[in-house]
Amino acid sequence: MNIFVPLFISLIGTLTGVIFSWIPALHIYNILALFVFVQVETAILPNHLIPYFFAGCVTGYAFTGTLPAIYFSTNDDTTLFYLLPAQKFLMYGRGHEAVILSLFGSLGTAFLIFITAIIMPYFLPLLKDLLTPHVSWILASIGAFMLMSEWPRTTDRPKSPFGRLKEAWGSLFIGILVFFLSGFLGYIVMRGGVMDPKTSFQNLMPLFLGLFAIPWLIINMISNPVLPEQKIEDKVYTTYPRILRGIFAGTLGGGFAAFFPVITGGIGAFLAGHATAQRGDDIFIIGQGANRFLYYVGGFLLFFVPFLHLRRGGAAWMLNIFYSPSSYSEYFLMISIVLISAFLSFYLTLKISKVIAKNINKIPYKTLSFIIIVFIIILTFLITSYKGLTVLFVSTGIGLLPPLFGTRRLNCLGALIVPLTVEMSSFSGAVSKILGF
Amino acid sequence: MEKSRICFNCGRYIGAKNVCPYCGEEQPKPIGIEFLKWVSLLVAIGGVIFLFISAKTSSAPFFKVENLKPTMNFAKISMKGIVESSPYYNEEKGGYLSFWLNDGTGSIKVRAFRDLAKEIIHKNLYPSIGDSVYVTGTLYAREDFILTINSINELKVKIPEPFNIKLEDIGDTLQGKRIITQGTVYSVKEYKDKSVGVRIGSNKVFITVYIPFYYKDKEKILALEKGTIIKVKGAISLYKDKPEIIPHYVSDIEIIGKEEIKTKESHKTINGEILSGYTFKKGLKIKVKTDKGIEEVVLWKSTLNKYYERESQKILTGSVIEFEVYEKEYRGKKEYNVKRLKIISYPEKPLSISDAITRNFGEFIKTKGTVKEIKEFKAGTRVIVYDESGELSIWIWKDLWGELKGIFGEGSEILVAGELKEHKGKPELIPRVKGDIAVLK
Repeated sequence: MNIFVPLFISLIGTLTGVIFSWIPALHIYNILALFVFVQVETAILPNHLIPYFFAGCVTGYAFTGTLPAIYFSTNDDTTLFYLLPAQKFLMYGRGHEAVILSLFGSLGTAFLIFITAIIMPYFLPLLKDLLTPHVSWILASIGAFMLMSEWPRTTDRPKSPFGRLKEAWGSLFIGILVFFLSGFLGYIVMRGGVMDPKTSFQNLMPLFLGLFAIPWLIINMISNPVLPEQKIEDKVYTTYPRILRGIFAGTLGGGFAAFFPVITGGIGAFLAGHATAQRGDDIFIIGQGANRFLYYVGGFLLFFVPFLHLRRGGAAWMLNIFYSPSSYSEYFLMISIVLISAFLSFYLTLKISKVIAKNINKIPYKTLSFIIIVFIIILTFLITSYKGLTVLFVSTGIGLLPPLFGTRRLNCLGALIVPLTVEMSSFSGAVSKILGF
Repeated sequence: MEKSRICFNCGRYIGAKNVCPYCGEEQPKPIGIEFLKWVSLLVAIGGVIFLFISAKTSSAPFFKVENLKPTMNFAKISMKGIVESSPYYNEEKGGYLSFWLNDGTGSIKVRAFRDLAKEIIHKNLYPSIGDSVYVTGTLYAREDFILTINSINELKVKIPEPFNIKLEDIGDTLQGKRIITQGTVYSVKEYKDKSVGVRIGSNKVFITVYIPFYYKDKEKILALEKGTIIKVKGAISLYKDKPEIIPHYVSDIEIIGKEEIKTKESHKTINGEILSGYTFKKGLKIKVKTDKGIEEVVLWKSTLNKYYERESQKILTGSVIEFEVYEKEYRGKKEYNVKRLKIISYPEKPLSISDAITRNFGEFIKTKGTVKEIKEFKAGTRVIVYDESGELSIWIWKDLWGELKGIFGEGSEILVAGELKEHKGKPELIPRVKGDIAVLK
């Protein structure tokens, strides 16, 4: 195969990823889902070239997808933690700087992947053998840790003891409720057959859009923030050691999330944050960039690691419908392509960031949020029909609880943790018998 | 630009909060947010209940293999078909069960994991070849489709009614059909994986009744004695192109009587000079030149190790040996198995390495040399020996190396007997049993 063909295809993929990923609430997996539909019906691309298109798309998304999280506060499961520090930057007119910091993290991780690529085929299969028998209890422990690390958000203002108790437990209770409601919903969606079987490869799409994207858009419509003018100079106020520390923390979280089933970038970042106890918004944002890149792109690359072939993330699952890698050369070609795509995405994201930063004041937040909600509803209907819309509606209800009742959004990831812990444990059959599906 | 939500006390942005996170001042509750709060809670709880009821009451849609599409990955669907082959079950790594289902338009692999796989086995709910199965599960679209069963209620097996047939009428055309037949037990053998094969016969026609390792009450089968007449109910499956019977349960084998079996083992003596040989995992096939022509005998390694361990270095091309053999049928052919042997003469002097490497491949030879190098591989160990005339590679298979490891090292002088073979265009000596190697220094 001429090496320029996959390179060309990956560049198209990168452009696709970059073009669509700055649009708030639009996930690259939704675009890839549309591609899958077209590919199944028309075979637009030879199967052996699809991986390179996917690699470009995912790499582009890993970089450019930070823009809506930082500028528009729309998040997916990996950008949950961006929001607070990124909003702080945005409120001080330093949104573009937050973007650059995040891109540093992503690019640093791309280099790290490139440098360590040669040892991964030896190291990762060993790690897989070591961890596989313990997946279920590790997942259950993470779920428990997430719930136990919630804290009461109290003001101590209520006058009666009961009032204070109610205030202390209010958010904690809602947090637990959100975790189990989303967990149960995730179980129903994955096992219950409530979605249309003909489009079920996108079962999780309405679930995630409802849990994460739409609630933020609704809150944006209600709160209608006014943003100050943004600085658009290519300067960051940090140091090289702090960049390295950020990349280290992000690599830890993203690596864990990429390798371990069910653990998303958000949970990985949450655990790595606790494990490394880094301080400072700059380190935090760099770490999130690294975490996000490793979760999406590193996770995708695991599919190509010889003797491993782990399917992690929606892109690898969708790709596996058409293609299975079989050689070392594919792996190394893919690593090189990701690195090239990463450079291109870095450059393009910087440019787009400047354009957005320059015009952010002119963007009518309320109208934009409304348009995006309508777009999400149409997209969900087109891909998953009315059944998907039902799931979108219910999951939006759950996704709205954390911002409205003041609890952590992370609890929404119960949607993955609960069903997959059950599936991987030794009592999945018993649960299935009790629930009846 | 519309007004954003700011604290009426300190003027800072508060988003959807009801209490200002900066100054702690309680904000007048906007009706929209308060309403949204309770509506969300209602939608969340009510919606989940609604979807739960919907999942519980709806049945998975039915699909045929030809209608499956990659976009159906993770779909919950139902399928119906006939089991094409015996289920595969593995208890390692928590449990795994799989079988192939054919619905007339194609085949699909059906599988179950962990506790569910174990439950299916322990409750005797597994299907057997030829059974009609209705199954619901999650579809996985890879390069092939796979259906994963999630609940024991999702697997429904219908065992077809068997028909009577004489054992001698069973042929490969009956594959997948369920029959009842009758025969006399000739042997019962437990295989490495703990499955059991019962060889039954009638009117000089034989067939194996195969009991997979996971069947309950397998001990009853192992206790069957030679001569027991049994009635077997089971499906016909092909193993190495020959039909065998696979019962659904151990209780499908019924003892109905007993008869005495007289076995004739015809013994004879083969006397002659060894020409060449061939070593396989469990024994040696030896070509012997006799007065009547060339005969082939099988010498099992177990026999060699048990009775003639120290003599193995004398079993060489050119040795004159008297073999006491018995006749046995193997895959429809007669073969002579060595029961006893007596070495009349043998080449006492080991060959120099330069002579050894010029001999014909397939000959059993003996040489000696000093160990130059030992290299261990996954499948075995390569030992390079040399003398003043040259060097020779000796390949020792993993099992045998396990017995020999540590007996000699680099620099040791060893005497090696074995089969001379070709490996990548070069001669290589392969010791047959432990006794083929002796350390001289």
